[in-house]
Amino acid sequence: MTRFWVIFPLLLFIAFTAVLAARLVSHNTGYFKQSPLIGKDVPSFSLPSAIDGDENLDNNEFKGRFSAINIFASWCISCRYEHEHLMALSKIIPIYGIDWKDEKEDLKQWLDRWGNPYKKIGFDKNGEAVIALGVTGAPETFIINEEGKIIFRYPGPIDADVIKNEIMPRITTK
Amino acid sequence: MKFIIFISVLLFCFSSFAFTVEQKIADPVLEKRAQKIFEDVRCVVCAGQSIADSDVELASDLRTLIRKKIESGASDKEIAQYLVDRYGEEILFLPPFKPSTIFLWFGPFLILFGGFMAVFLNSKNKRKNS
Repeated sequence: MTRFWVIFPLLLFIAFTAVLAARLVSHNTGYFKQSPLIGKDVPSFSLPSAIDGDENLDNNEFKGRFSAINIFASWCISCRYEHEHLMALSKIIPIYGIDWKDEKEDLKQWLDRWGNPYKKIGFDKNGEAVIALGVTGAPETFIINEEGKIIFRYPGPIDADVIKNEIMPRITTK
Repeated sequence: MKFIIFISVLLFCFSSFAFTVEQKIADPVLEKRAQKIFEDVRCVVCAGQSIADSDVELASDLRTLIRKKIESGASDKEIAQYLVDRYGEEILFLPPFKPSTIFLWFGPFLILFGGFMAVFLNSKNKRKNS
């Protein structure tokens, strides 16, 4: 019995380290990977349009059908990577863009050059909507259901696999 | 000598790119409260830093937002809740006290206790043997 108590701290230490190590290398853990907004309404925000003359974008937009919110910017390199996949996704559900800390002129060039997958684009100079949505960086994509609730968040650039395996199953009505 | 001058010049890398002036709250008491909150809020880009230390733009935006909320009369608790609702509990450095975090709070003491027990029993054992 005494022998057990001698090695007990060591066992405890090994167990503790193993838990920490597993969490460290696991894909789904880490800071800000899981959004507390899943299952909630789109938080309130109101942005002017990034394209002069277009309508503003606010949180009342997202009801009655599945839609997506995509945080992006013309300075964001991985946004360029996901752009073609957004074009594909825009044929399935409307995508609303939140253009983060951008210049209107740069954005215009970006859209002219690569195409515009967005139904509307909000211009978020001060990160108002970005913080309201708990975003940690661009790009980031949210999927919203017919009731206007956020059902999925994907930090980082989406690709064909994400659309096929993560987004499509969630937007097909059962 | 030339080499020394060269090295000393290198030490003064005059860079002002990262320097942005933020509008502080005019009332020093409120500003102090804001600063206190900044130290407790984790930077969402660089998780090891607080937003008090971070130069990232998003951290700056968070500071601005917190200052605005303080000026409009929000309590510290309300501000913390606002951030937790959006980013989750990990945005605060201090983990909340609840059943799922019990081990986090008391785990180290448990391990320390285990160590004391081991040393105590071991030495008692040895004395008996000798």
